[in-house]
Formats: sequence, C-alpha cells, structure tokens
Amino acid sequence: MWIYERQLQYPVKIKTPNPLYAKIVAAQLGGPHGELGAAMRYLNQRYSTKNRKVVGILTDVGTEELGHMEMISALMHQLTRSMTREEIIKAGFEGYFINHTAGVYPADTTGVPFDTKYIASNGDALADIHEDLAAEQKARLAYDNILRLIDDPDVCDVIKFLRERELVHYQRFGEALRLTQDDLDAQNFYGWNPDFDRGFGKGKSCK
Amino acid sequence: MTEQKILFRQIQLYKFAVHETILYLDGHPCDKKALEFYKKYNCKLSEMKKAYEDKYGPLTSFGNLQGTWKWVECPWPWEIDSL
Repeated sequence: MWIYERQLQYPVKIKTPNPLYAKIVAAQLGGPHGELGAAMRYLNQRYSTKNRKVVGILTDVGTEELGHMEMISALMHQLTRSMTREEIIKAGFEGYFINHTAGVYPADTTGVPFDTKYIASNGDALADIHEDLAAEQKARLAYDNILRLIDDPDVCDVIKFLRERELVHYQRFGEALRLTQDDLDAQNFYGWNPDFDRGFGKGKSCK
Repeated sequence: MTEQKILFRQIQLYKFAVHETILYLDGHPCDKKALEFYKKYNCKLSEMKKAYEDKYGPLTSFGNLQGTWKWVECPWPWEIDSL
C-alpha cells in the first residue's frame, strides 16, 4: 500500500496565475510523456520482473512519479486560480474550462485525455526496461520544450527540478538494464524471457 | 521564515537525499558507503519528522499526535498558502 505524505517532493509556489501556462504543463500530467503514465508504467511492470533489484527500482521510481504527478497537478491548480473571463479567452483556455472549470484533469495540451496506450507492460524485463529508458528521455525532452515556451521563473524552477529527475531515473534504469542483461544467457541474449521461460538461468535455451 | 517552515523545508531536503540514496541502493544493495549515508540521514530524518509532528501536526495520517483531528485542518501541500 501507499501512505500519503503531506509534503510535495519540491515546493510549488506560483505567484502569478496563467491559464496558458497551465495548458502547457498539462502535457506532463495527461500527455504521452507525462507523470501519470510514468507512474502507471513502472508500477504495473514490476509484477512480472524476476530480478529483485530491478523490482526495487521500478517500485521506488514509480512511487516518486506519483509525487511528480502531484507537483504538476499543484502547478495546474495554482496557475488556474482566480481566472477572469478575459484571461480564459486570451489564453485559449475555454476548451478546457467548459468541461473542467479550474479542476485538474489528466489531458494533454490539446485536450486529448490520458490514454493507457501511452504505456507498455510487456512481461519481459528487457523489453520493459528499454521502454522505460526511452520514456525517461521523452519526458526530458517534453520538459525541455516546456522550458522553451514558459517565461515565469516560479514555473521554470519546478520544471527544471522535474527535468533533472528524468536524468537520474534514466541512470537508474541504465543500471536495471545491466542487471537484467547479467541475468541473461550471454550467448543467446534474446532467446530468453527471464520473467517467463522456465529453465532460465540453467544454461538451457527456450528452443 | 518561521521556525515551522524551516523545519518543514529541512525535512523536505533530507527526504530528498534519502530517497536519492534509496534509488541508488536498489541497484547497489552492497555499497557500504551508500548504506552508511542512508542510515545516518534517515535517522536524522525520522527525528525531524517526529519533532515536527509533536509540535505542529501530522505529516501523514498516521502522525496525528494532537487531541484534535489536525490532519484536515492544516493547508494541503498544493495550496498556495501551504508551507
């Protein structure tokens, strides 16, 4: 189970509301490279993984991603507080506003709702970890692009923290990949699914 | 900055350092230096959390040590007037 801690991983204090910026950062809540997808990806993948260290990494990185989801939600909540009609129209926020007012809803910048198609859980550690390494890089580039568009130091400070975390997770998943490869038969790298094939680790191939 | 806010920020900082060590230890469970670091800073973190909850209110719903249900009284972390 999880226990909620009444503290963000990193403080979010936005002095100036801005619905356009809320729309932009929404990508990292409900978009294809967002934090909700990240948490779901790692926390779902861990059940089939046999390497205990890799399960630890998936569990603890997945849990941190839940915290990042909360930080992006806090950004959206604070950026949309006390909006006026003029601000909503000027920011092009009306599409979101009609359905969700100032509520937090996981959709991307263009309003496409979160889709589980953004994540994979393959039941094969090698395939899963390659997916995770790519996911961390895609999240990093999404944060880079957000930093290109946003001109508010309070928002950028939070985004830079989250971008940095993607780099650390990429490093940890790099280690998870090495750990998984160490478990495989070096002469028959892809002949095994270490999480499924019986006889794995006894020098036999699945063929 | 109030005393409460300073302690709250310190907890956040120490928690980050310990969490970072946890991710590293998952892949390197035999790293003695990392284990030492974890032990030292996690111990300090526990003491600070206990001190905070004693004085100001719960950090988790399992830490409500006051006579009233403080859990729902203090601001939530996403609110602009939170610590």
